[in-house]
Amino acid sequence: MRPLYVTGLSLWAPGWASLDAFVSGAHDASVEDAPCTWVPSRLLRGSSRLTRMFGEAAAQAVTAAGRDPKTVATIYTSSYGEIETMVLLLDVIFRGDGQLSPMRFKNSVHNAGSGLGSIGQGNTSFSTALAAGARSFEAGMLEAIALVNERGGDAVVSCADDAIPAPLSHVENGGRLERRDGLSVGLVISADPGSTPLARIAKVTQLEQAMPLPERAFDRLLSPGHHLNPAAHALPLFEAIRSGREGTVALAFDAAAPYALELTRV
Amino acid sequence: MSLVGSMGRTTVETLAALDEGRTGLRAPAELDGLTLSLPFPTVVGAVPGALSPLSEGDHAYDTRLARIGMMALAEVRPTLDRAIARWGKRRIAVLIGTSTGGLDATEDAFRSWAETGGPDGGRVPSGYDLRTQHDFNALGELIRRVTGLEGPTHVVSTACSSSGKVHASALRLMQLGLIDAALVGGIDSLCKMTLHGFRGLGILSDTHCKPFARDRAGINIGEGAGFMLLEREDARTHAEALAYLLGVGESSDAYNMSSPEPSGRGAKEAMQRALEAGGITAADVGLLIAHGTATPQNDVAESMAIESVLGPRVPVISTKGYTGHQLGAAGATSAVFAAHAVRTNKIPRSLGAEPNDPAVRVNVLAEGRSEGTVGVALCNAFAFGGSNVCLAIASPDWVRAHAEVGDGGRA
Repeated sequence: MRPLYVTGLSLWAPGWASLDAFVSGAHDASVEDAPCTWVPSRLLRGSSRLTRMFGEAAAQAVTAAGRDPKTVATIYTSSYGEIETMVLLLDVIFRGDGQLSPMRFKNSVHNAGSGLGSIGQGNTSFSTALAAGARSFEAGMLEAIALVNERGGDAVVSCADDAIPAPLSHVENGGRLERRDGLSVGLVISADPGSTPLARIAKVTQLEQAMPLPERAFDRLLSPGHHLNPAAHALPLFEAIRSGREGTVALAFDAAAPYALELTRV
Repeated sequence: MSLVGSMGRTTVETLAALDEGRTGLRAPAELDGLTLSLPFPTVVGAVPGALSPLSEGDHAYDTRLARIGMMALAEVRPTLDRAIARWGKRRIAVLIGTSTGGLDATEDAFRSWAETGGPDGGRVPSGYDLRTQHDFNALGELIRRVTGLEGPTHVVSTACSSSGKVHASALRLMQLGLIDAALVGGIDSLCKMTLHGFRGLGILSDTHCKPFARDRAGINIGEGAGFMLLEREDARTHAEALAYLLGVGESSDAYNMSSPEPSGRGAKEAMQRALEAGGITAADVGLLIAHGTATPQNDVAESMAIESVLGPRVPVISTKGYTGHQLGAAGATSAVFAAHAVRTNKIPRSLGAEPNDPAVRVNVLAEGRSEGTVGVALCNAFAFGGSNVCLAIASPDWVRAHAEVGDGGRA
């Protein structure tokens, strides 16, 4: 593979307005919704908070990388996607008059964030929406690395899941109540390192054994509900990149034969 | 490769129906084992007959979607098992497109909750599991459990382009060197959400859809599954190939969430990129299987894009009149139809295409054709969010006659 670089990182979650706020422990309870500035507000009518989280994480990462939001390839990845909108629609079908709002229906697709992001920025380049359960961040990274390896340029991975709404919030894993808290992360992969690359990706490998989610400094900031969010699997990589650590970092944890990145200094 | 859908429960049945021009679309009231209780008229493309439950060990994953998927998977298992023996279980990806996921099971669970009181003490059935039934990736997880595959696994869910785009993911992962083969495909099942949703948008037809016809009145919804095994090209696979995936083009309209860009700009870009990726020109293309949903807007915009890229003479068909719009499975189904056309040189008639719409200035085949050579077929899939994909698929004979082809894979 060609040399690739990580050029931007981001994080948004309720209470955490940015990655800087998160790592400095500056929790702010007034941060409840993502501004999603790269999609005009008129386009965001009838969208879910998840859609806005996707856009915010992508926008912050692309801005941090100093890349062009009109040309960057966008890869949105999530486990449950637009489940909030889906529950609203099911309620209309089974407890209402069955007349679904066209706007809500359009925004119920897994690629709602992808579509609105491309429309908002006038970006006609590549965009996709993936799902891989707990391994959604890993899937997004592999797609982004393969894409930039194939055609150059930049790709942003935006990985997000929001809380699961009632009545489906308590039916995962055999009926055990497992609250999931909203979390979104963004990461830009570039063929051109630019002036301030954060890390160099030398290689993608597949590990023999599953790795437990490591205890890291970030953990003190996360709730148990955040740990169930697929986006949390990005944080060990974020920590390694921010601390300038070289070596192998897995992209998925508690998962069979995960893929990992070999990071080297730039 | 394999196909299951309203035209048949096996690939042979489905392709025979295609060759004979028989639709699989029917009124929902005639269906066996599926109660949609729709308060409006339409026709749908449902898999006929009862669907076998999953095996006991996989019961947690049981949905209509999974049952359809396992039917289609069973047909490709012998080929897949040979590929596992050759490449190894970690060198084969599982890349599936879907738009509905296991929504059929979630609708049943939600209905039970609503009928037992809803927010006032309603109960979701104890057998329902969000992770193994609703989650999009439950499909990928189930296929890994059943096959033992351990390569990259994800679902693409970009609505109706989903199972076209998985082919591009496979080629990229091959080029990166992470895999040597990929099981690619798409699965969608009928459910109330999509039928009510498209009805709300005003584009669900009351009767059989008529792609490219002057009096077309919208889409029919179908269900089904299609799989292909893509393998890296070498001397061995070259000798065994059923067809070649020359290249894939992808683009975004960046225009509107549910309407195509009126000039077909995004569709045009996807087709041009497919030609470039495949190292071919418009002159090489012998067939275009259109997205052809039968909405007034799609068919005109798509025909403008086709005319712009391929000119007015290339044969064009839509297969939505046979299958309905299979949404997340549409791209995979079209890919198998394209592979069948380049292998057999049979082009089915574009069902429902008459009377011709004068605004559609491309060569839509109202009658089938079985003489001449197809060589290379393009197939389009477009989606909500302005997501577009185009696949270029060639026959082995065409590839042998044209030594220089793109960095493709064989199916």
